[in-house]
Amino acid sequence: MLIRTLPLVATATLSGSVLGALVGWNATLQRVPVAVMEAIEGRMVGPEGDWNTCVHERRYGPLPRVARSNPDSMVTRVAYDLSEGSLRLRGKTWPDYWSLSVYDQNTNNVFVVNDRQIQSDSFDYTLVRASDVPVADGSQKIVSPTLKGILLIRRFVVSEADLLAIHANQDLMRCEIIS
Amino acid sequence: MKATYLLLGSTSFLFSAVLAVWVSATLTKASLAAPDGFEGTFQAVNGAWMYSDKVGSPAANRVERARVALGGPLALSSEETIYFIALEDDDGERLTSSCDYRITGQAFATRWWSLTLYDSETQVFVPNEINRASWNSRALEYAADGSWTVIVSDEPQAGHWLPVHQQPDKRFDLLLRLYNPADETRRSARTLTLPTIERVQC
Repeated sequence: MLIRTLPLVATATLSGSVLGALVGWNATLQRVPVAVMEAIEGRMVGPEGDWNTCVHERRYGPLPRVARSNPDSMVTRVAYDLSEGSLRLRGKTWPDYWSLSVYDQNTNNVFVVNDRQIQSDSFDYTLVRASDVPVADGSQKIVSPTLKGILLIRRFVVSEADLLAIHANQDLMRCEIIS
Repeated sequence: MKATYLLLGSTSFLFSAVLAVWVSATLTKASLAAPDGFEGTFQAVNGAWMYSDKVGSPAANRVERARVALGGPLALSSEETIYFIALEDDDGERLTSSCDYRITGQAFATRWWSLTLYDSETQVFVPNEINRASWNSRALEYAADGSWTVIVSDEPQAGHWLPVHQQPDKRFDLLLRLYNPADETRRSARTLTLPTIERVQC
């Protein structure tokens, strides 16, 4: 009797292994982008937990930021958490190149706009968690598919002579959470 | 008899679980092998360069998304920027700090572009005395025929120099970014004429 069941046990063991391996592999692949985002967000918010805070990169050139970041851009970054409300960002674009991009918690670049697409040298966007969340008059709505994520503003730096003007451009930015 | 079946079942379950974890870990490692794990997500296009329109895209599959997340998170979608990466020279040899390379190309129909060198292991910049990891389209000087040349070397070079490690056998990669490409550039991304990467000496 025992001998007769051995092939069955072996088949079940092998099938279980294959199924388990595929489930584990799939789960790991799904988890990797989220884990990468959590790690970057963790560095951005720091020990104080500064979610929804605009952090301006003041230096220019090769800096050990995230993997393969661009040394020719100066970035303003926000790790957002929309469970606290909507995030409104206002300011001036940058003429040599400016873009605002939103990354959901799965690393997808779900929104991007650049200075040439904006009909003005000013911008006003509100990041919300659902399309029915109201925003202030004149503010453009961006819906984030996930409550948490990262928003980046990139400015192309032609030379170091731009630095003071870029700092001034950064200082003009207003970032506020609207409950 | 019951105890025997119980022992057999438990052993089978344990073996199955261990095998599943091992196979899963092996599959994951093979899928995401960095830094050259870009191959498969980025496809060979022209010369030594690879391209993907899945960077930052919700259309990427799980393997592609995980590879990009590990190798270059927070990249822009191809609507905004197109990326090309080179891990090898034009002869198919891996780019390493043991050799000098001459990279030659033409300007692109795009708003601005840049060529950046990264340490393939750390995935960040190679520390160097002139604090340079890239050349962009506005900083380069062009020859009369519109071409440009960048030299990759561990020793200072005249002209446009991109420094690599002082130690030999350190692998690096080159990333070419085209910001706000013209419609035609975006449409023909897979067939664009891209810079040549010539190994000068080792």
